[in-house]
Amino acid sequence: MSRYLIKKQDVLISILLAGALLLPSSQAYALLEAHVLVDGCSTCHTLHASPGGALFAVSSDPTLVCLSCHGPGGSSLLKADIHALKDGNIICNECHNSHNNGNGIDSEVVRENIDGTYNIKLVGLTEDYNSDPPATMVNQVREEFASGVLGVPKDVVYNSATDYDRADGKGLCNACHTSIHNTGQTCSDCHAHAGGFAGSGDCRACHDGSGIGAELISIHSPHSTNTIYNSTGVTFTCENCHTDHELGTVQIPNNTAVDIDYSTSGHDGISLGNNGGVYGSANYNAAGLTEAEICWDCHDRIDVLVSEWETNTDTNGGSFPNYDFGTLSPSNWVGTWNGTTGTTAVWSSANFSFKQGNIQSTHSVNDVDGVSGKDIVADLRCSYCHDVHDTFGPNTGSGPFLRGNWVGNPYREDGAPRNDSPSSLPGDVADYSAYNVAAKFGAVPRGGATYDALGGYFIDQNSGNPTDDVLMDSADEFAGLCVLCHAIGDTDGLWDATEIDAINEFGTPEDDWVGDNNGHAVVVKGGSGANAANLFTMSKRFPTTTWSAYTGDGSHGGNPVMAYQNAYVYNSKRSSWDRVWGQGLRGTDSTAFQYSPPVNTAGRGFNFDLGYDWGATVVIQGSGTMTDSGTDSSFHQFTCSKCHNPHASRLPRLLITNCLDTNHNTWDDSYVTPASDSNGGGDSLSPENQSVSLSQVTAAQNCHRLADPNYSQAGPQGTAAPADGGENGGWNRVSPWVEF
Amino acid sequence: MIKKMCLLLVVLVGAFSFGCSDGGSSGVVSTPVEEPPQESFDVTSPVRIAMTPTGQLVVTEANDGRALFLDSTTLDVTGSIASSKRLTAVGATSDKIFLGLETAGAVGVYSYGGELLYSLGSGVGEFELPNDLVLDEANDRVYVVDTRAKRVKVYNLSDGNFLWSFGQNKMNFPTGIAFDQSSDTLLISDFGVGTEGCGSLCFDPDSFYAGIWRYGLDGGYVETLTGDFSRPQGLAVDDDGVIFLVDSLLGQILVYQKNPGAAGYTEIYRYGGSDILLQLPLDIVLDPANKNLYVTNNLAGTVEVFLAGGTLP
Repeated sequence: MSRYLIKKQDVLISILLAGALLLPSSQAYALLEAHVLVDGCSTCHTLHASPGGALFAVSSDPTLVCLSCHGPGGSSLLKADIHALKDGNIICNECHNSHNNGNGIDSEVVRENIDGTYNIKLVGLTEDYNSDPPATMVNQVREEFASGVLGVPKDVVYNSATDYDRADGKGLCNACHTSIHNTGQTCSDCHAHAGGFAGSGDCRACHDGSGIGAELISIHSPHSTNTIYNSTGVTFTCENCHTDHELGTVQIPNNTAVDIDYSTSGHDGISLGNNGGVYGSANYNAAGLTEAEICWDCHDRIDVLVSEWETNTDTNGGSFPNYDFGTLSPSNWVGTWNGTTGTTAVWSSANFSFKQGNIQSTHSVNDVDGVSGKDIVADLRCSYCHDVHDTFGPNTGSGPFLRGNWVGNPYREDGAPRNDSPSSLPGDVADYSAYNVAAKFGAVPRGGATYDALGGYFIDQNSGNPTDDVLMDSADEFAGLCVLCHAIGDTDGLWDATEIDAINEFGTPEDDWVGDNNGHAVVVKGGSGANAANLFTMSKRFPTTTWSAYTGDGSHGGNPVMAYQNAYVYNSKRSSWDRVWGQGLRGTDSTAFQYSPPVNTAGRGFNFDLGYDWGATVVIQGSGTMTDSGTDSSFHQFTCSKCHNPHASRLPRLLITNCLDTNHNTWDDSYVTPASDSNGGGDSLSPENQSVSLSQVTAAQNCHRLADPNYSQAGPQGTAAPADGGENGGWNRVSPWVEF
Repeated sequence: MIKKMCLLLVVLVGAFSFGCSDGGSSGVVSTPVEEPPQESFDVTSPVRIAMTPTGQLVVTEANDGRALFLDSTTLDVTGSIASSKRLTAVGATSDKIFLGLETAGAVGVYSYGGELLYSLGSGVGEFELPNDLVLDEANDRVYVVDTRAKRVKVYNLSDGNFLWSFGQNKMNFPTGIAFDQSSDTLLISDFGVGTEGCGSLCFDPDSFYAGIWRYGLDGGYVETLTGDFSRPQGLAVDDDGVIFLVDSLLGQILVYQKNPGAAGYTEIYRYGGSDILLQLPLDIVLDPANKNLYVTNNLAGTVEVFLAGGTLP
């Protein structure tokens, strides 16, 4: 530690300098002009017992001599403070020659630097004050480590303020620091000499809300000292997650779309991660090799998990259920969720045992991932959506600190109606038995819009029409976050119908949607409704016959279309359609087919058609003719979250529902129609309704029904039959509809 | 860190305690109750110091861009005014805080709540280096030392309008300023050459390098005080005209008393050095109620208190 002894040995220094003043004229020191103008040599030195006081005498600290002018309150505008290190400080004359730049002017000693030029600002030493006695140097600065250990003298070239960090490693800072960031820029713009090069004091020196691009972040901000303490009881500082100089394990690149842009400060992004320390201790430093792992490392540890799984923070205002996103096992995604190493993580539904599978798609929020599917962990950009310090976006002050409005799924979880016994999860047994068997459609999972037990689909009509709520009746309210990246051509930060219609991150509408058009236009609240498809054409729904009214005089069941909407007969005398008896497949009347589970139709001739309350148009009754219905524009008014998980999903494209995937139905497995039959009226069961379960009959209210391959004779829903160049229904071509 | 230091002037022995209000002995430091840390600001690089009419201390921070309110008894930080600039000068009335914004070249007038009310003169760029100021509420004036402009500028306290300046043909690097109530004059510390053709002789024929100017409230020169000091900074003056001068390089507080019945001044005492290590002390304020001296000890990052230091030995 001799260097510190030397530093504080004012006597020795004074003697040395006093001796220097007595050197022959060829070695006399000239002064920097600015110092001459103060009071010449007397600016710092006591000469001839001058009454000006003890200037740089025995009791003077050489650093104080400099700071008395260059420090706070001093007369100089070139403010400086000592460079504080962990185990000691770098004082002025360890970088600065006290007298001149050595450019030979006014009889100065010529002191060329390694490049043959002359340093400015008195940078570079000819004597090493860190050795005893001072050793000769050649415009050099000795390397010093934070520990107090000394390195070797380094050549320094300092011709301008941009020579702090030089590409050739000869910059002033490079004497101790390897090239770090912003090479060729003026380091002191951020690390002011006046502040001891301390990086503007601390992070908040810039993040005080007054700087350009640096948002206000205080210790009260989310994910800051006080707030973390309140959650965990552990006191962290900025440095526990962030690293200066972009030396961390992770950099979150600038992204102007989400208001992360530190380019004007010379930063390419946000640096974080030291990957070290013991969690919960003061030396913990954001363990994790990736941004996501750093987030998970805390969020998977604390007692009350903060997770993207299970039930998230209420984002719909509390009037609608909060979706349970299930669980992932193992919960720690690191190296597992994408199957790159270790055990592949398995997602499990909170409501349906049959819904379990590996993660198939993730939301990296990163343009480097140009294809759909699973992204590598390093690409996940949590911060592009989660404004962890709450500086941008709604600024609610509470999680999940998003950069825009977002409403989590206000609909309950879709799931195939099952009869899994013994059940372990709430949706394993479709509770159709609770429905009134005497009601219009009897005991089926979705006989009407009031049917909302788990096991079946949840759409606006049986979910309270969430997007009619004032808190989420526009895309800007339920997906203001998404507009930042997904609104193509957006200029105002607000969704419009054209932008909603065009949402399509991957693939093409022709390839991905059953209707060959971008379905977002017709299912997302705020979409234009363009290119809506008619799901109920006879050619799709019941291709073996032509559209017709319910056959016969109403005394028999006939072969119904969905919800018996053709259960009419045209009265030519009155030129009107009359309801006919719709005893149908399950009616208890002798004219019905009387299949189970039964529907008590005794004495109620207009049983079915009056009971249909989902609102979609099925048929159009003309003058004696019954034709295909028109399209129901914007029948669905969904939020984004109705269909997509914003994080990851066991289905492709972040889909969370297959909706009417009748492959997984089991509730009706014991209710299969016979291979051939006729009812009391003598009508035969149509081929489409022969040997099929109830979810496959033509009357079933499952609009987007995917034809179950176990019942190939059943007609698909929503598309032409494969034999006609169509496919087996459904509504998109990217979900793995058939999983058996 | 605020170093709470009490000096019993009579015996010149520093008595350290965690509460200086009663000069008591050190107490037991109890285990702190675990609670979330509150947003607080420590004294790290104190520059100028002033006292409010209610006895609160106000300290400007060079690097943190804040003016801190300190309880004069405990030296605890009780509040702050934020600024994005390096701060220098400070002064306080009952409802306003005057702050020198070094890197803006301005003096801003703030409410105690931190609201900028108005600026002196033309605002930003009005000063080259507003280093210290003193308030004269009785005459509605603010005197601001502009070190680099080598003068003192005078403004209306109530609205910030510029009135006049003085010292431009005499001063070198004027630094600190204080009001001498005993003579209704101003004291301005200064050092160096600065003025062409004047040199050290500006102070007196013996070529003193630094000195203290005395000027009338109207800007008229009165006299020069010289002595063995090097980098004079802030000043305080008691009711009898005794001068307490901070020398940042010497690390001492020099006490000068006017010679009774004769010209000149005598240095009667020095604080700092063997008793309290002052490292780049910059300013001083005298509490008229209890004669405590408060000093900004810049390099140490502390505010030191000399209990009853204003009472002459």
